[in-house]
Amino acid sequence: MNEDLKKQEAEHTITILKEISDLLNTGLDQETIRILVSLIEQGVNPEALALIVKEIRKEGEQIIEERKRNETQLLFQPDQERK
Amino acid sequence: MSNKAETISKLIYKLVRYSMMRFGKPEQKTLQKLFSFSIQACSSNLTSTIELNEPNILDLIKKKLSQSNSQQSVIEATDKYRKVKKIGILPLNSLNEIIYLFHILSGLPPEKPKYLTETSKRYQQKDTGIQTQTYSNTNENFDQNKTEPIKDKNMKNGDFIENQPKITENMLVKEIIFVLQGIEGKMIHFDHETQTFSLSKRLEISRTTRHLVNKIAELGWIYTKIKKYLEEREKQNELGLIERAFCSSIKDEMNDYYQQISVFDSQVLDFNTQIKNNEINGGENLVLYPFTSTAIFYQKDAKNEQEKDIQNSIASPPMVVLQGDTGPTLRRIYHQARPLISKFKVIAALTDAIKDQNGGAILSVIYNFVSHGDPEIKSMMSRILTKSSKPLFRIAKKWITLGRLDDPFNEFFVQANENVQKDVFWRQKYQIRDKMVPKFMSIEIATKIMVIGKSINFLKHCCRIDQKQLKHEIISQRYQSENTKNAIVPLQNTERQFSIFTEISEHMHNEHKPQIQFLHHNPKVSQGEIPEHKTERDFFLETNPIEARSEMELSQFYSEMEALENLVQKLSKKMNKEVLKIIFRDFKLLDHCTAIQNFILFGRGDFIFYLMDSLGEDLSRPANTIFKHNLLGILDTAVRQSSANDEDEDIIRRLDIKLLEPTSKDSGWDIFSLDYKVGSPINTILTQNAMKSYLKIFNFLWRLKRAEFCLSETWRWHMVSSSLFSHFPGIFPQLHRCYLLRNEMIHFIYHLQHYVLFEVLQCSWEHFLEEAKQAPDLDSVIAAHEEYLNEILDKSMLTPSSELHETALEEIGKISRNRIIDNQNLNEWETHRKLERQTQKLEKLQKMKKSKKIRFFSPQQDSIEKQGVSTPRTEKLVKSLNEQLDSIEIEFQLAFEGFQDLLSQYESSRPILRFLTYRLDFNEFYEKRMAREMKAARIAHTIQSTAKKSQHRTQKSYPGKKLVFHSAKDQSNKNDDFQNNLSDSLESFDSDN
Repeated sequence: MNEDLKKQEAEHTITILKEISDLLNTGLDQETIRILVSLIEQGVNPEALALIVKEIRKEGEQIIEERKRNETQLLFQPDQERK
Repeated sequence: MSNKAETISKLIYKLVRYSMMRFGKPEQKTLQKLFSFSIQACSSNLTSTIELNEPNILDLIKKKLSQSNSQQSVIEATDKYRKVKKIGILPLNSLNEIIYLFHILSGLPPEKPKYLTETSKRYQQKDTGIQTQTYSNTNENFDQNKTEPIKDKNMKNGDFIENQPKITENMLVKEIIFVLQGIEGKMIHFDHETQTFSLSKRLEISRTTRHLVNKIAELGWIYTKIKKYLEEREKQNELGLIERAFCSSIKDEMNDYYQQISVFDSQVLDFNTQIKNNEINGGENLVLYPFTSTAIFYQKDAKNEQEKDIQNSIASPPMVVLQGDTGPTLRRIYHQARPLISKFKVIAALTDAIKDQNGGAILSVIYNFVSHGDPEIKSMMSRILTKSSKPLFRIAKKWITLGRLDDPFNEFFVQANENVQKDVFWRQKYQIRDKMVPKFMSIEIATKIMVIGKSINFLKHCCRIDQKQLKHEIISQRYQSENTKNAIVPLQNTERQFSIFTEISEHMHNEHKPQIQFLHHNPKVSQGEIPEHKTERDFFLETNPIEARSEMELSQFYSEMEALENLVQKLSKKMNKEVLKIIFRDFKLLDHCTAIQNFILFGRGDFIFYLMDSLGEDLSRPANTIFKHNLLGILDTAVRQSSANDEDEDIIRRLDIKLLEPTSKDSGWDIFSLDYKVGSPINTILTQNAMKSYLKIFNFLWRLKRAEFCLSETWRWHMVSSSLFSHFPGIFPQLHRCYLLRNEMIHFIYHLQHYVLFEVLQCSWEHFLEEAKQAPDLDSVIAAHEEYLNEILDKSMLTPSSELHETALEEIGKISRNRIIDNQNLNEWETHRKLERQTQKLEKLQKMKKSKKIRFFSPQQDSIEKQGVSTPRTEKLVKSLNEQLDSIEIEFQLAFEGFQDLLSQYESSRPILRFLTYRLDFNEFYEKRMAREMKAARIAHTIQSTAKKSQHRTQKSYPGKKLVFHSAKDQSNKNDDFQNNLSDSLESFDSDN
């Protein structure tokens, strides 16, 4: 019972945090928030975490761009092939 | 610990993996790279730059949200924060940290390329007129801050590079510092319409920043305003001393301002060099707060490359957060400038208020500001007041000590009039300019100051008091007052008691050696008291050092005032005494007044009698044949003959005769009057106007006296004639009537004269003497004298038609004067008549003598002669005499009754007149006569009216002439009866008298 209640409360907390995060327009999803919360609970500095998140995003953007380039190349290639 | 590290690394891995999964399946390489970066970041000992507690966090959220979203979301967010807190499963500090994390992440700026495309996209939209706003999440902040279309801005703003430059806080700070010195900047312009400095509207700056900048810029505006005022004043050649002092005191206050600006300036400089140094050192030890409201533009200006770098570092969130000075921010400047703003606002208001004022009026305005509630401003104002009032005090002190009016710019409240004659020197030479009396000075003090200076000048110019002697006197007074002053004013302040005291001591030591003796005379004053006060003061200072200092600063002015007041009180007492002493003792004011009382106001009866007696012959001639020099000799003999001979030679010399402008009908009596000449200082009190009043009184008294004189002359004639006519019993009733009439006249004249001379003149004179002896200053002596004169004029009913008295009074005066003239005419007439009669009688007498002579020879003829003479000639004579007597009697009676009427009217307001009326009719003779006549008149009237009525009636009811005739006869009979009665009773009364 107690465990369940705790779990419920934790879940509730996370959802509210998600809402706050949405209000602040952070672009974080619930799972990420869950991980971040546990990291913070472990005593990791939030500013360091912010750095990490940003780095990850940067990396992610790069990947997406690369993929886009690849896609356009792919798009062009079949055309040329067709020609 | 290792367990913890493990969980952390596990979690980080999870985070990295999970996050990267969203971008598709991550390569192992990137994962590893990110993971190692993350571990590094976590293990570096970063600490939060701000203290993470609830209010701080909420504040951060609020700021963040208020920039972008509505108020609603702020409330929502705080609500949610509270909810989580309430659940309590998450520790509070963890919650705070996670919110802080969100805060940082939400502040993510858009990445460059994406941003650029965004803006260019918008351009196109504007150009094509499409108003749809496609704001991406990342640049929402920017959009919120936009106030005007970028296109407009690009077109107008030539100062800037075509691509919008970034405006950093640092730039604004630099700009603001220029503005504070009254110089327009690139971004902050002076708007001539609204007269304010304001940020160019075209710049895209958030409202809060704009507000802040404008607020600071206000100070710049105020500064330029004050500066303008000062420059304007400096240009003026004829700037008053007080205003000049005021300007300089403001300049002193401005020094604070310049100091503050230079502090700002150096702060900016320091900060810039610090930035440079930090850059050189790797830019690690730099703290940059994001200037969140800075508009972000991009610029290609090579010069601002460095600026750009800083901007970049600002633009990205504070990744490097380290300790160090933050440099001047707008807020800081505003904070430091705020007290200056309030202070300078007041000064600006002051300069505005003073613009059209001059001299003392300026001080009044400043004094109004001194009672400001803000102690800071109050102390500043009292500083300004102290400095500005110095010239006034200097002028005042010179004025009250030396009588010198050193006021080239008409600032002092004492005004000297040019070309004032000596006789009106006291009254008109100096005046108080009401406007220039500063508000902190009561009008009494101002008047006293004026009087002191005036007294000094009066003594100098009018009383020909030796300059040195005067100085000597004043300095002795000054010395005393200095001592009293020292007793009040603390020793610390003595240095500011400018020139005057050093001046005094210089005077004492160099010029006036006897003064030093005086100093030795009072060892108690010069040695004993001051040290005593010093110790007291020291004690006070020891116990309350701060209070003492602040009190000294603030009360400088007040103690100055107090000192001046004390000096003024002392000096005014001394000066008044001095002036009175000189006027009374040296110039013998009272002696002159007594002389006037004696000669002009008939104090010396014998002198007047002699004068009238000896002048009579000359004055009876027509006015245009009379010459002053003839009369002067007579005057002199009159003086010599009478008791006036005992008077001082000087006073006798001042006696003069004044002849009025003669008209053709006037006799010498009409134009003659005595005059008394007064010299320079005395004519301050006995002014020309006063002398005119004296002249008027003299004329009145002279006529009165003349009437009396004539009457007594007639008495003499009557005495002679009574013995002469004893042989003519036929003429006796007429003579008797003559005597009665004469007695009546004498009765009237005596009482009127008694009233005027004794009840009016003498009483008022006693009163005046008392007042003059008690008078504290010259002004009250003058006032007493004026009152004395007015009283006399008023009571003897000679008041002119001045504004003081109503017309009735004037009428009384006029009529009573006319009446006197009438009376005089009467008397003259009578005397003429008597003279005529006398000559006739003499003729008769001669004839009679002849006849007597004849009788000697023929005694039988006597009776025949007598009868013969008496029958035709005396008949005629008696008849004419009767006629004359009738007309005189009627004239006198009418005039007398008129006078009585006026008296009874006037009596109610002047109780003193009651005695006169009583005395004039002490045995109710006139009253009874009046009653009788009234009764007679009434009866006559009723008879007449009844006769008319009956006539009317008879005409109506009983027509017939008999009745009418009867009634008419009745009436005439009755009338006759009354007349008989009247004459009978009159005769009986006459005989009684």
